[in-house]
Amino acid sequence: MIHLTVNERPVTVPAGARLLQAVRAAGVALPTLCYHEGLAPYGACRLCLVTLTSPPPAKLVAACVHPAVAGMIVNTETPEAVASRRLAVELLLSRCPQSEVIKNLAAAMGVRESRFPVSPPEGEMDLCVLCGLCVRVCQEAIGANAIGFVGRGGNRKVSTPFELHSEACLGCGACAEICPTGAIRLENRGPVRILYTWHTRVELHPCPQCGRFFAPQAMAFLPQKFPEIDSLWRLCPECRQQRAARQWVQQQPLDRTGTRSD
Amino acid sequence: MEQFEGPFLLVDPQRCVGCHTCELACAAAHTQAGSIIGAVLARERLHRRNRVVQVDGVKLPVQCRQCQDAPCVRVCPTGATYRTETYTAVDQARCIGCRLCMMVCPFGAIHVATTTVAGQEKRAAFKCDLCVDRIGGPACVAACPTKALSLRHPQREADRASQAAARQFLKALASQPQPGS
Ligand code: SF4
Ligand code: SF4
Ligand code: SF4
Ligand code: FES
Repeated sequence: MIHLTVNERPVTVPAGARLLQAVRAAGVALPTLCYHEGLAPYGACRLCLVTLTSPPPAKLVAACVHPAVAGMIVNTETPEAVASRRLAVELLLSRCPQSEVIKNLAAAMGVRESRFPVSPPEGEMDLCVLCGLCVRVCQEAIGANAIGFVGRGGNRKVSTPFELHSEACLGCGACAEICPTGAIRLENRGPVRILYTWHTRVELHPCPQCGRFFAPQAMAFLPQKFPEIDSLWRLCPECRQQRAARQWVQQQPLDRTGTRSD
Repeated sequence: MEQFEGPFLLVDPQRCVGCHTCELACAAAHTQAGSIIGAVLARERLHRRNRVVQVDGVKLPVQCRQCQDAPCVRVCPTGATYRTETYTAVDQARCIGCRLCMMVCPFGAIHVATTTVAGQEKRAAFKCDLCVDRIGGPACVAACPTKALSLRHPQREADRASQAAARQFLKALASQPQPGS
């Protein structure tokens, strides 16, 4: 356990924790955008900047990545920290002026509009703030590596290699779920799942029982790793429930003999 | 049924009348308010982890079977779905919404839906956690008007049975003439 101080409040966090955990443990609100508990910290959005007062010299650090060390003194409300976070959100706002999520974040920090010229990315990715969550989830968690950053500077964006249909994409949709601004467009259209943003179409299998399109073809490897779903991986969850219920009813006479009254 | 080593919910289809009370109790038990009315007033989302289904004219709730070597836990890439000694559950803050757990659950016991985690809206996996945070155990068991649901502890029951058997064995031994005497 590590003991440190956040806004003059003593807090304790487990070893290996980052400053963000300490800030949250202190019950202090701090905005985050590129942070996700299921992924490695990344420190891209700078919305979580705080002042690390001790050990001196005092400096601004991204709370989501900075490791918590015993005896540290953290302050989230120094003028520098507040101003830096506002600057960070202003930059996000100038990139994505039409994003409701960013507008709300900015408003919560007292920022109405950006002083910087609006330079939204053109076309498809007009809501993308380049937080990298989709790229990281696809690489780190799913292991598919279907998408990545392309281009530099103002042209930097997320896409598939050569901006073409991706064979590597499983069609799991984790990228669309994790995107904080909802920039990734995904739609199920009958037998295909279309990931418009990634120029990719994934084939879906119909549920053999009810016909609903459910299992992405690219997940056909799952039954090899999970023999328990060998015969039923194409079944939709509702039909699996039916199947489970039927099994249960059939098993009951067996259960009954073993049922003890306690 | 050797796959059930930890506690699990036993359903008696002959007692279930299909009233859906367990579903409501489940949803209520997982809100801050703790009741359906309270949750509605506080605009909390209601999610049940179980579902009453009908097969061959019989109704019964289905929910997670608390698999010992749970596929949902094995597949989860972020460790959001986890198993303790006595239950499996989802840490929704870690969940990335990939639905792999839903794909591998043989019983259709997981679904992904919108929820609020630490003040932020996101989609995350939901499954029965045997109400581990509820004093008094599973809400569905407590709420069922016909007692169709019960929480079973095979390990404990097996121990008790084997203890009884062991005792009987000792007794039988004692009543036998000692060899060589
Ligand atoms: S959710 Fe499904 S796979 Fe996971 S423990 Fe429960 S029954 Fe097993
Ligand atoms: S949906 Fe969430 S809980 Fe399920 S496997 Fe993916 S990250 Fe894990
Ligand atoms: S044990 Fe709790 S979580 Fe599981 S189905 Fe019953 S009420 Fe829901
Ligand atoms: S949340 Fe810390 S830099 Fe984005």
